Amino acid sequence: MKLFKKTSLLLIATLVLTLIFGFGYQTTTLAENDYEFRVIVHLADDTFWIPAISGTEKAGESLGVDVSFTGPSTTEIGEHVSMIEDAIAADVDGIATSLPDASAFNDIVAEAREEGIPVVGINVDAPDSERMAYVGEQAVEAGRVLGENIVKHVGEGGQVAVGSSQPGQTSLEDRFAGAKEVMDENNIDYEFIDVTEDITTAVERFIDYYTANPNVDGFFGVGGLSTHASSSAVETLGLQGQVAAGGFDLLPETLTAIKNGYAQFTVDQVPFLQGYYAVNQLYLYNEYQILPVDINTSAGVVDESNVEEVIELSDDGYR
Amino acid sequence: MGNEDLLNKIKKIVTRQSFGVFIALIAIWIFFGVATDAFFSFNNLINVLRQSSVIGIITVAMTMLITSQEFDLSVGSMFALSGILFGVLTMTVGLNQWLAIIITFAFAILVGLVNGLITLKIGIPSFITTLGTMMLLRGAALVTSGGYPISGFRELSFINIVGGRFLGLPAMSIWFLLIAFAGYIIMNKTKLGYKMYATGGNTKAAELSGINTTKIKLIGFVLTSVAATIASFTSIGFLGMVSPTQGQGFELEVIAASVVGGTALFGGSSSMIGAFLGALIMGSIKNGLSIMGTSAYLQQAFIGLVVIVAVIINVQFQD
Repeated sequence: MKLFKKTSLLLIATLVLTLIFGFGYQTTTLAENDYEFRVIVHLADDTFWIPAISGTEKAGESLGVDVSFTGPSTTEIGEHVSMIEDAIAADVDGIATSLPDASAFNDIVAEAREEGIPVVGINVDAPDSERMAYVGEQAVEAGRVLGENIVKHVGEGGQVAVGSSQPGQTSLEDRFAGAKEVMDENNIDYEFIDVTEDITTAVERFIDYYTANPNVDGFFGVGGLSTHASSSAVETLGLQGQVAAGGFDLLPETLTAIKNGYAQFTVDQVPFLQGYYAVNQLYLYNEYQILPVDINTSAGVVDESNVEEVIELSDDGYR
Repeated sequence: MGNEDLLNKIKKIVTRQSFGVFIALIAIWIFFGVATDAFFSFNNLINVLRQSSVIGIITVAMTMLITSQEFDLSVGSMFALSGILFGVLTMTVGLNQWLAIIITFAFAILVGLVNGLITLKIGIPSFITTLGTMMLLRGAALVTSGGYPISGFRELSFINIVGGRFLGLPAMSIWFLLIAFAGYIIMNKTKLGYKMYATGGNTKAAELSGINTTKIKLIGFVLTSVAATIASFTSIGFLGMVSPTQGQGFELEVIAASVVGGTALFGGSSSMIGAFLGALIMGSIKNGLSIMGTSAYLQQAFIGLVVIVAVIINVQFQD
């Protein structure tokens, strides 16, 4: 009986001590991990970023860090640079940013690094900047995937129009370059058209192209908006089954178009992972000095075989 | 007697329009100072000044134009086109940089004259004329550049005048301070300023008293277009590049800054100190919200709110 009492006392004491140490340990870890990261992207109010926001939030929750997602609502480089400047002034512990110009971000990224703030590039890369790593698609490679799918749906020697809403934007140009390689190999006759950043105008540009080239076999886009427009043009013209459509990104409109047969495929650069991995890399660097590494998040294809499940995940904000 | 003099002086300052703007700026600063630790750091206050500079430079000239009862909506497009023109002349054509600067300014004067002459000689409201030139100039910027941004300006020696830092201040801010000072002198100490107030206050009366109101307004249009060009050069100095899509929506931000600063929307009344502070208010709000890491959506809404409140106060003052 005495032994039982002693054992139970010991057990209780161990339990209490474990709890105290456990709790104490946890609170100190939380205090140490009081990191604040900033994710800054161009066109931040674009629906494209919804999964990326989910990705940063998921990563933030699981790591117990504070992450804010922001950026200019336009492609205004000056404003984008200012927001990185503000993140530096706020003395955040890490910055993940898209880098939608080859040289304009060099100075500000260097400034952040000088201040000891790690910077990871996401979505669009500027390899000449001092960003520590890039998390996103390899655009030329993703463009080749587009090219392969164009060949698959229009056949060798077909005639296609490929739209872009921002000619000159590096990653879109690289995708087109990748697609071009494959199209050249397969004797596809292509024309590159500027569809503007306005969806209505974009649809009209494809329709105009059809008016001038009634024998066209496919409309495609190198970005989310141009892809949405390509399928809308097929729908508007009633050319389902005659003219193929597809391109990039998982805009809800594009997914619905695939489901309804107005588009055949879209290449996914998985924006969720861009947000998720970038935050993880910043955390690992702060916590263990593990250097961020390049991560290729491309280039899965969504087509009629998997579009139903992807739509469900998209509704939940993950795809 | 001495006390009364002092009291009158204080009364004069407090009832001045720009004093209200000053109080608003201080209130906004206190708000952000309390909300974030970083706002009141020396570096960040320099950031606020720099980030207000592009809008601020154009606001100075726009305030003069609005005072003489006209608007210019083409400044955002001109901000892009003048930089693109300079870029094409230096980078593509290979022209001497100083010659290119002269040609760019000559072009800016021409644009100001076209805006002014169509408005004043044909009698179209400047709101409509410059809405047209806004689209025309944007299109010209895109066509001239092929949609591509132009970079490589860091190799030109003119970058030392518009970029870098002097006495710890970014060159962009120094230009803003100089131009705001020049604007203050013009509006308060010269005949031109007096004539602008007279023209905007009552055009008929101004004409009867022998003021050539057409000429006065034309000068306003030219100055606005030239200011957009100077702003474009400072942006090139800061970023080392120019994009044909830059400056979209700047016309409204500039008009908002001017109105927040107390400029009467229907002409005849304005304050250059108020306009300067108005531009700082716009810059401070963006900077403060960005330091806090708020989302892009919230920033736009907040700026909109400030503009509405300012215009309500503005209209009350006019009554």
